[in-house]
Amino acid sequence: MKKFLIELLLVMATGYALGLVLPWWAIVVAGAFSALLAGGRGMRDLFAGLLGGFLLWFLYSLFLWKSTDSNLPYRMADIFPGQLSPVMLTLITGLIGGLAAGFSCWTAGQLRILILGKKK
Amino acid sequence: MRVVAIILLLGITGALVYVLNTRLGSTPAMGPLISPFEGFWQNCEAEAIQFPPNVSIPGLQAPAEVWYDERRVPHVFAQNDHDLYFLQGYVTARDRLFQMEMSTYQAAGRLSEVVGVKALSTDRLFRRLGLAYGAENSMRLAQTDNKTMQVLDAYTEGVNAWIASLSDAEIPVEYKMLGFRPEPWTAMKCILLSKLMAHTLTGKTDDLGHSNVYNTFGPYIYNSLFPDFPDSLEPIIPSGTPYEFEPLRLDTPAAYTPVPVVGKLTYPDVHPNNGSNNWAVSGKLTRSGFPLLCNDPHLELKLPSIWYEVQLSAPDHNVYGVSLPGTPSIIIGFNDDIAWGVTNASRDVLDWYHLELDPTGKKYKYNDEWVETFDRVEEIKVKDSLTVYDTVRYSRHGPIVYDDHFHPGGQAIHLAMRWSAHDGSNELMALYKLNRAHNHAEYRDAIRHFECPGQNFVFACKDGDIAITQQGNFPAKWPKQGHFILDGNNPLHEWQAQIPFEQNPHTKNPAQGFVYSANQIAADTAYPYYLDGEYEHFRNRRIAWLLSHHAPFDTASIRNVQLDVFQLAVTDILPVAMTMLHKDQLSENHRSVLALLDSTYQRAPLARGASEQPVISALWWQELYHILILDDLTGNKIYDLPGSYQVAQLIRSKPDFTLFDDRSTPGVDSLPDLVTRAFKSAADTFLVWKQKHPDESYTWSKLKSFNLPHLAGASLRGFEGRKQENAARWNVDELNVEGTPSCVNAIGKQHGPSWRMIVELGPEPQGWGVYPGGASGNPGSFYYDMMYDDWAAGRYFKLHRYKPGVKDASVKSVQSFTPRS
Repeated sequence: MKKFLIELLLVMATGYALGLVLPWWAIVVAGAFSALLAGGRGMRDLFAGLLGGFLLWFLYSLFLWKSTDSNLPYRMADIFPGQLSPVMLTLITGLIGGLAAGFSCWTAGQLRILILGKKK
Repeated sequence: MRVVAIILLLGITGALVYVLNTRLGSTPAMGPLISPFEGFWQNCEAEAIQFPPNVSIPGLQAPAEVWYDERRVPHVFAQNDHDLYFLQGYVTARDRLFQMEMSTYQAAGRLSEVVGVKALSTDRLFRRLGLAYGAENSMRLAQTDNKTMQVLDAYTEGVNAWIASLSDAEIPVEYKMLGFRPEPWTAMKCILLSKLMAHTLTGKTDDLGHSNVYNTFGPYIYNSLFPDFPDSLEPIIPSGTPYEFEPLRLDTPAAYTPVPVVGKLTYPDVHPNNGSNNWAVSGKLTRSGFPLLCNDPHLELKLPSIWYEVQLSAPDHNVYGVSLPGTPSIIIGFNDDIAWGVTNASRDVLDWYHLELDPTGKKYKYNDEWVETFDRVEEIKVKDSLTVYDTVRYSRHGPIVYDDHFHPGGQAIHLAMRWSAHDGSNELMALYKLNRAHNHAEYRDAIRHFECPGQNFVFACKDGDIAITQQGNFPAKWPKQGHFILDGNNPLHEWQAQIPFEQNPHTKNPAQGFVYSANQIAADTAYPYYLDGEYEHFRNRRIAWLLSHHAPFDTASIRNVQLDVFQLAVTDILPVAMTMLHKDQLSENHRSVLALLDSTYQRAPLARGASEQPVISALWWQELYHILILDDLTGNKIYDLPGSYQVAQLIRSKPDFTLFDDRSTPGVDSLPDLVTRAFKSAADTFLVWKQKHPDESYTWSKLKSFNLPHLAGASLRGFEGRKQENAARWNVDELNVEGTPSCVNAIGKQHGPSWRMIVELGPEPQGWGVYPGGASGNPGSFYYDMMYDDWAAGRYFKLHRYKPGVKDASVKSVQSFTPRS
């Protein structure tokens, strides 16, 4: 469990740090990096990436919206198809971040296992 | 096995990243757009101004400051012209870059580069109209003047300094949606922007439609629908003013019949209501004893607003007003000594010439000889598609806009366009000087540089002078020259001369104590030149009446003139229509509708947003106009439509006018029959609406259904004007919008006063203003549409023209700029 949390936090931390200097796919790199460093646990890599990517992107977008009290998320929600609310937009944001990090993490984790063998 | 799994997972991850990174059709790439690090979340802006307080910029020559007031209007304090316009470019780019780029892409016919093939026909048209050709001519002229180039280059540097500082996250959200990036700004783009304004204000053309009316219906009907103008119409220069100069002599050609034009020629829409009001009232008629000056330009209303408020202060002048994003200086405003404003002159400076081409298509006939065209190949890049090359042939008259390979619909016809916007001119020098003018003589000296689009420049000075000048490059025309398509072969059909500056209509301190203009005709028939144009008939009469009868004025009561919603268009016709109406033929339901047009409304028809009465009179007129005019002027040809004023005149003076008859019914209908038929139809429309909306009133505001779209229109429909109220979607039905395009408060459906300004001259000039929008072009900013409902409600904001170094509580934020070596 602790190792899972470490992997998750690593996704979030590197996702944030790299996100400041790289384009959006920083989260993909963060997922891969975290798995190579602290992963190699099969499905748990997927979940660490999913949750880590989700939390980072969801919380950061929520923060940007709430700390500015800007109308933009309402406007963007109207531009997106369907009857979305700004909260749903933050969740979708998290979902996309999570998927990107999750698959990248899982892939890199498998690579790590291939090279280093499976961890207990 | 694991290797297989890895390959599979790599495939999935790769595909996911690819999909998220790729624009699919018109859907932007989701990864960049939704990432909180670089996507639209980064464009969320707080209300508290968060510009960095200290900025070091390469290119600046000396330290400078920009202050921001409670509406985040920038106030630039610089020590020289270069830094002044540099910073104007910088802050304008920061707030309105997308708008600046889209305007110049449109003017240059380059929309297809960013939008794709759906903009191709618009781009082809704009290329053929020759805006870029005119801009090149203006650029050549600008390059002969050091000061002009210094100003243009400084502004350009400032814009580029801002663009260079943009990170991916900071790029405006529209770019993120549409999938392109800002490109470097050039001095040429400033000039292209002024040509776009020339198109907005002089690009409307009715010559083709007029020719068709003349050809189909003959001279009697044509002259009845489009008469030259009687003296009674309250011209800009008071009737009876003598013109004591020797006019230029013109060679008038023999009478001719213009060619008809078959088929719908496409032409870029220029809004027919583009115009404005302005006036200046002398101290004789004001409480303060100093002049009051007002201006409200009427344009299409979109977000970001077409205007950008700014103060420009340098050691030699201190001016406040509105600017056009994309070009330096202030267009309408006031400084220490003077105030000025503009309305469109509405003179016809765009004429068409029919050309006969030889079989090779490379020569046209002029003066009975064959002359070679010169070609201009327009290269139109199209996003996600092949570049299109369109060859436009130019004649001595101008570009041959319509020819055998560009004539959507109808027969092949060669029409060249002569437009004063094609000429090189330096409007910037006029504005540069006007921004710094101290008195009437300097105002006159400044505006003589202003050539296209011709404007009525109103002026007021703290020493008491008021004045107005219709200034532009106006061709001297023979009677009715420019009404119809002209003969490209006949040298007498060309513009033979330009009216000299001193002979353009102007007046100073007239006896009536005020000057004003609302796009009406400049002068009475004593003026020796033919005033070809399309003029206003309602707003001018109302303004003249109000200014004559409601003196003395102060800054509070003068607002009532700008916000006046009395409908002269209704009093011109309603009494006559009421007498003609066969009331006995009306059903009870129809009578209940008629009763709404009570005697109060008949005496003073106000276009109040919350009232149902303007709806009924509007629907009635719409039906009547359709029955009388529209049913005849339709079909496979373009017809120009007569104005409401003229149709009302005809109803009163020529009730048996043959065109009026409703062709769909046998026999000849009398005008009372048609008026009654129109009323019944209008009343039915009204009643049907009421049935569908049982608990609501069919108010004028509802009929107008005013809205304020983003300039990208429906594709970015979430970016339309709303308010920051509780961060929830604002109900636009709550907005009560008054007025009609022919009222002084000329609000139409998506059109109207794009800026309202009131200035009281004096030792310390005071200004008030408002517009439907805000300083910021960022839909994520509190300042994007902050003044929308204030504008609709008729509220004004105090304008701050700070003295250098003197801050008050309204200064909310300060940025200090220092040069970086």
